[in-house]
Amino acid sequence: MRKQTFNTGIIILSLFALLFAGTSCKSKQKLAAEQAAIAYAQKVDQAKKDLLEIINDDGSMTIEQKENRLNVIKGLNLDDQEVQDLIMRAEDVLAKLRKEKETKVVVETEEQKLAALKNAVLSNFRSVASAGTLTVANNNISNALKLFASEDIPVLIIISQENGMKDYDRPTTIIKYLEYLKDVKNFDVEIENMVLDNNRKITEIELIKK
Amino acid sequence: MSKLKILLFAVFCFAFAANTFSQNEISPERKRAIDSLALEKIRDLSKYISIVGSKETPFSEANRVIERTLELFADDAQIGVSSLYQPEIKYYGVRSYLEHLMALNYDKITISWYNIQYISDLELQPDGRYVGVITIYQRFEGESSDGLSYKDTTKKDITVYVERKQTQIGGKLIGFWDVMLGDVRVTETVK
Repeated sequence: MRKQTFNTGIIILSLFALLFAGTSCKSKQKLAAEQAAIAYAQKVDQAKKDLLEIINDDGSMTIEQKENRLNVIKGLNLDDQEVQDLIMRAEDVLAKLRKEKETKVVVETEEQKLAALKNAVLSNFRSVASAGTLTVANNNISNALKLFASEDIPVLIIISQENGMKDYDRPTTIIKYLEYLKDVKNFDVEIENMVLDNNRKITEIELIKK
Repeated sequence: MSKLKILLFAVFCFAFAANTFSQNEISPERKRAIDSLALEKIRDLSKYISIVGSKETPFSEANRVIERTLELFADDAQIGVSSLYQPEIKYYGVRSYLEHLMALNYDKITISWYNIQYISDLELQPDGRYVGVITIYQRFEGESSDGLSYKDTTKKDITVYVERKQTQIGGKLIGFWDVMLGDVRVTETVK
């Protein structure tokens, strides 16, 4: 009888222990899930902040830095509609920035090319005017003409400018202007404007008296 | 009645001329620019004459420069030629003068111009042109291999006409000042 009572007690105790253990495991899982949810929410918040920084940045980050941050966020695969929308906006902003950068590079390159061409023209003009002999002057004229579409392209020389109104000397052609430089041996103009054709040859040139 | 008509017509003509005259007035800066332009054309002429006269200039080059020189002058312009040994001053058309100069019988010719300046400023005329006179001194030195030489200094007055013109270039209307040289008159010849 005593033994039976003892066994019953053990069984009841075991049931309590089992019940307690089960309850404890459930709360650990719940806690882990809660922690995971908090961590996820933090990731989403951080992603939103980062995305807004990318979208609203006024130049403190380079395009590459923005691209790297965006790629990290995209790699998180966050299942949040607001994050997805911000990713799309950030991609649009980056696409626009990339296009602007490309355009700027093209413009800078074009300006550099034009500046180089202007220098080449001025250098050729000077070399014609300062040639020591007729042969050298004629060779320099031939070299200079290579920069122009034809011998007959018009040369306009501004003698004065006032209120946007330009006064010119009598228009001439490039061959006559180069021969003029050879004859008078004096060169005192700057290039005001040039028009180029598709082959980057000059089709019109406007000079201005210094 | 007839006198009144004539008077009214005269007043109208005067008003029209005065209006045209004032419309052609330009600012002092633009005026300075055309003054300089005209002086520059005279300096160009001095270079051209020196090239044409020089015996070192190849025939083809001299002919090319003659064509450029002709572009500086009005069609009927004449150039005076004097000599220390002849009191008479002969006047030639520009081409004829330059061809004579090219054919002068010396082995070496040096021509230089100096003291180039206005003796009569460019003044606006009723026809819209500016007219002035620029004076220059020309030093001529000719030498032959046989030792003969001739040297003189000539003072010359050159009439200058400056006219506002327009032309179409590349679809744009360009306003330019056309400087034309008139007669070159000899006023003094000394050793």
